[in-house]
Amino acid sequence: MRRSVLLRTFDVLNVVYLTGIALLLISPFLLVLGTSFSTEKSIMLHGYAMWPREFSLDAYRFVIRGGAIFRAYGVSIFVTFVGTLIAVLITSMAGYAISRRILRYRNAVALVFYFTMLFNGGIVPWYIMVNNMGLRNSIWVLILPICFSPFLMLLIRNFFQTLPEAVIESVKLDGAGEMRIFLQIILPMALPGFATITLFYMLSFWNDWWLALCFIDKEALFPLQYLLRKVLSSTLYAGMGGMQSKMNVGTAPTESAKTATSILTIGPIILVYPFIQKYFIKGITIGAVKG
Amino acid sequence: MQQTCAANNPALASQEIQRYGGEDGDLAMNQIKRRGVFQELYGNRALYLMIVPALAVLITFAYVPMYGIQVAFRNFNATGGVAGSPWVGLKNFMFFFKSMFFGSLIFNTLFLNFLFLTAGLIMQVSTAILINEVLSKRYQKVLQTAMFFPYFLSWIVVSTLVWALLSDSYGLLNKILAFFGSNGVVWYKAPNYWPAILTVANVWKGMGYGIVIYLAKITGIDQEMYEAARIDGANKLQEILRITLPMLVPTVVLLILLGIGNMFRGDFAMIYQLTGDNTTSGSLRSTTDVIDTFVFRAMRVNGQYGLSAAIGLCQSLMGLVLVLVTNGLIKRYDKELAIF
Repeated sequence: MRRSVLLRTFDVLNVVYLTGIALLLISPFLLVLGTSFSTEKSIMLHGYAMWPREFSLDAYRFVIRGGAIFRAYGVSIFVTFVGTLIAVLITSMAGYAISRRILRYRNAVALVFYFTMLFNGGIVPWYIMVNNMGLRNSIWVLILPICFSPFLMLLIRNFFQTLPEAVIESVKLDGAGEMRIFLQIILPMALPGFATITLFYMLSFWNDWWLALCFIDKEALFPLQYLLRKVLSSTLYAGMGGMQSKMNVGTAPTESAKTATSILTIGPIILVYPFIQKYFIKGITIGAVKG
Repeated sequence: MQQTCAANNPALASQEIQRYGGEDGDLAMNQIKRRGVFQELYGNRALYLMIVPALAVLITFAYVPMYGIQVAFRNFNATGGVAGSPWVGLKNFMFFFKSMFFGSLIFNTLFLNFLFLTAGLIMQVSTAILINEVLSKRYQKVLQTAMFFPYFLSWIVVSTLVWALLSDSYGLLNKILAFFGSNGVVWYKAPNYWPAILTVANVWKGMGYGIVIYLAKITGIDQEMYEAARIDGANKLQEILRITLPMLVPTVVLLILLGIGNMFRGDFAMIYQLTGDNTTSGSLRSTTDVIDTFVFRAMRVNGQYGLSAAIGLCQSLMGLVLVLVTNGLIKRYDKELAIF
């Protein structure tokens, strides 16, 4: 079918407009990326720029030299890995149990889960009580408070509900226990669901700074995002292994170091983003809105 | 706890509660109804045990903290703790209601959320519709991927991006303004611009997520409707206005409802990071201080636990009421669209 001139004009303008929007959305990131590779001097002279006038790795060298960034990477990787493992396991188990119709009290249990999405006590009681639990300045405080999300349990339960109950029943007749059914039958069948909640959890662990802001004072336990926050909020670039005392303030690459640290904290995300984003899209489509 | 975008979805929760409460007649249920409580728990012990770890986490970090709500009615001090500090009745609440910041906090919270909601809605729906019109499926994916990217960045990283644009001496925006002969603006000391800046940042970060939802709905629309319209001589614009948009209404209403339910919750992570709450000594607060940022400051900086707990409790209750009220109104308008 031939499209009319008017329609073809619309097609072209539409693509141009959308490409413009997409570039606009990406451009702040490119601006920071470009700046992180330029010298401090050229930032001072010409400001932030997408294309570095004088290419240099000084900022990255400076950030790495303190060593704090490696420790923070370690903390973030540990928290993300262990946290996601725990979170996916307990979320999917609960979601699976609640999806099973033979469970008489699943409604009551579900109510207990969902009520917290409607009402919470606010951050102050939460802050005081978590402190009282003695979790302050422990690595577990970066994991436990956010290792279960009722919303993601909902999401994976929706996946489980699409699986045929008959399969489960027939395996059960063959004498398989519930845990074995879950691990050997359900898990492979609901793999896209697992992928989706795994990614959501990984992202929330990796990007978390709020828990560190509330409960971590020890520098050795700073996760990456919180370290970045420290770097951004201190003009003297303090906190990188106490280096600033030995440094002349004038020589510290403040602006470029900010950008380099930012790029380093999102590094892993950028690397895996092209491969994982389709699972996010799938997950949101299935789980988020059913209306 | 607060910052996971999609994780706090009160209206969705109520939808679930309703679903569970209302659905009763399944076969398996009737067969097992005659068993006793212990028989049921024991008979399905494997399944119930699978719930225990998640429940333990939820109880520890969501229900146990509710015990601390009493701090709102006490004059909290460190030695007394939650249970030992003296009772003060509603004094914390009265102080908040009578204080000079009460009005501006409520206004900022509601106004900013209103801006985020409307601007986000318009951009997401229009962009989703336009992406759907792109002929190449592969390019649709490319666009979607690019637009989804900001969702993956933490607000701290975003604050660097905003700084790169708005820093008064090095930022790109002032360089562009200088190119056109303007002196530029000291953005971090100009509170009047910030509702707009925050709105742009919010739309920017949430766009990809919204587009995914709306695109899924659009591609789900029955293609026969479009064919029938075309046979009747409808043009592209009419197709969009008369078919696509009306078909999106339920989703839009649902998302507005979710948004209204969250109206009293400020986006703490965004505002706290982007305005540089800790460094600029509050020069942007007149337009950007919302309930959440105020509560956090009152708690962490000023140590006013009782006051901040009281404000937080008001906020939670108002949010709950708001969800129930908006849902009631929607129900009166159209039963189909209400969520519970």
